[in-house]
Amino acid sequence: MNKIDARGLSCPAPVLETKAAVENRHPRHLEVLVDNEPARQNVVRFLESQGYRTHVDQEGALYTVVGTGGDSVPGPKPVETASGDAGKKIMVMVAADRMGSGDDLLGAKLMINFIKTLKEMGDELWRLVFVNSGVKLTIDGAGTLEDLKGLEEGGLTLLVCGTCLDHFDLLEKKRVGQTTNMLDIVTAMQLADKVINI
Amino acid sequence: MSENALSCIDPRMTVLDILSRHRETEAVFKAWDSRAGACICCQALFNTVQEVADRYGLNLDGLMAEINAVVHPTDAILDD
Repeated sequence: MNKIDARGLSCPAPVLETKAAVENRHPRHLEVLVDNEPARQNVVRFLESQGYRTHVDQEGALYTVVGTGGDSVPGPKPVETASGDAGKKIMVMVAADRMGSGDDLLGAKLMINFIKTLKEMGDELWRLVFVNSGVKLTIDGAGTLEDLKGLEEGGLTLLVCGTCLDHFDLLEKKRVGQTTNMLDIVTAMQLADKVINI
Repeated sequence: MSENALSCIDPRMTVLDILSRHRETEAVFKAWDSRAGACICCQALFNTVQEVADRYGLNLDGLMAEINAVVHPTDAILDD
């Protein structure tokens, strides 16, 4: 049982403790005890940003935030008693290193601008997946690299097709994102509320 | 301020991201709560510093300078 007792702590401490637990232990089930409303809201928001489904039990001023699932857990969603409480999850799949066709130079510039602008999706942007020549956007020297690093540092999960990196002989040059496989990509598609293909 | 300091902490980073990397910056955000009129760590934890400045009408350069001074105290001394 992964349980964090954050009673008596104000933000950001409860979220930071939760974040550390998620990143270090990758629990499938996590309970966080908090005793103030901002902490409840922020812990819920953080867990959902990491792919957890959440529900909250309240006893007086004590909240127990329960997170289940997590990004590492594929498979069907369990039935929850609460309904309609999950935020929209948008997955963007980038299958080329440029946007559109007609002029490659223009397409490359558009792609850089697209990646730079993605953050405007806010918290609804849930996964950014790179396949085929799209993986070239994640390597050393790519014009998109710094923006992608910024997105990842902000908590977004970036998945980069390992087969594609290998095909282009770029496995050693990838500088951002998690190398992934088709099962993870298909699972992400299944879990997403919306998939946008570029 | 040195380029090194600017390159490490960016206003596009979220408050949470900065705090998780540099917990010592919590004091800076708390100190700016009174100017924001709200608890930044409670109400804007998932916002970027830029968004926080825009939302609460804060001086972004001033806030970033104080964050960087905590993260890179040596740079701050050299700048004086």
